[in-house]
Amino acid sequence: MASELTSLSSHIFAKFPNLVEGSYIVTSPKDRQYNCVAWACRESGAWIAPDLRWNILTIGREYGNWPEDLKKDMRLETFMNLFERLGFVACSANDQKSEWEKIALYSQDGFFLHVARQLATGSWTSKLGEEQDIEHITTTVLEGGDYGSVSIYMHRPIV
Amino acid sequence: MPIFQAEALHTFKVPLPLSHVFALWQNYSNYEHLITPKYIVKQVPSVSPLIDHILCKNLLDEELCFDVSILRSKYTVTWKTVRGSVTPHEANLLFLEDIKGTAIRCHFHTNTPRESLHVAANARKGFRSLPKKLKENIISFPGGDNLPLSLLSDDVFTMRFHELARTWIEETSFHSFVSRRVLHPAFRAILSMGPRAIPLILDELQRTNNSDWLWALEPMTEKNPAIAAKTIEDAIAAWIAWDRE
Repeated sequence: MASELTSLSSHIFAKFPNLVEGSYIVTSPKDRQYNCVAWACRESGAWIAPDLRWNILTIGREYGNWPEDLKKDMRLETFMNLFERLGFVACSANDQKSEWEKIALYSQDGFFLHVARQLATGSWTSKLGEEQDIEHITTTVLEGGDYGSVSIYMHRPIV
Repeated sequence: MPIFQAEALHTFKVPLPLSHVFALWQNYSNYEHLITPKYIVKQVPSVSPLIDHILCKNLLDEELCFDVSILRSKYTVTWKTVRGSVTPHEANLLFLEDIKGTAIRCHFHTNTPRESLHVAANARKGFRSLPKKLKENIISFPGGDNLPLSLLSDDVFTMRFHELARTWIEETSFHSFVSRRVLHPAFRAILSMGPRAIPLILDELQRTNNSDWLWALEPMTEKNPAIAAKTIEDAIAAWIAWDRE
């Protein structure tokens, strides 16, 4: 029987036309304590976002672990600034350097929607909102649907 | 630099219940038919679920971004250009019900370093064409051919709520940002269900512990009894106590 550790909820497939059997594997249970941004920069205990949210465990509503002096909006360039602060610089899709890790920023109409991180194997890992983490073979797997498409790649040296 | 000021006022009546007419303005996809066909109107993420942002893009690719406030308890809709706009202006609609239907009072005001008379003239023209556009669109807007929510039985109303809630959760759970989730049409439809949906939202909040429901309660009631809550449980308790009162 399919469980949340082996498969995604069926409604997700309707939103991502390239997400098909064999293009991904589920790598975690559902978790509402961290999101795609946190997962991309290896902060799996945090929810990183510029918008207001209610923190379920602690202190009422708050802006999610967002730098005080960074703009609070959902534009792609704002998220690029965030990742620059975390040591990432823009690169091309083909840049491959050992000891560097790469991320892909997805957007639509100039608004940021998702970020995925490349693994040493060449495939990618994504946290799907409050749903599971998945490993997907290419960035295209999550394109063409609710995450828009990859607008920019960035990378940083692995510390 | 000189500052130009201008305003426009217009009031008209439509022979329909207030809830029916107001619901039309709570759905931004109706705006391109109601305000002007020259603009494509799109709701875009705002960092607070309590404020809506809409982007109006015209055929010349000029963009105007507005903060929209919908005060459901006072039946008012206000659009205000975001700070930094070249032609800052503000417009609001106030809806008033009487036995003959709904009166809509429109007010436009601009205060701009640019020549403003043509902006106000366009607003006046837009206001005057509203009755005709409303008449044309009122039967074609989503739900316009269904019974107004106020006439639904409790069972049907509850069923409608649960359908929308399920759709909203299923279609947005993979988004990392509340600002994106509250743009979903099902969430907008829940907001327009009004105070009658509040006990259903509280049940859902208790059942799922999904804090996103709190974002529906505040704009629906324009109150926040949970403002001092430190945990989600405190927030739920505060809302339940408020509902009992």
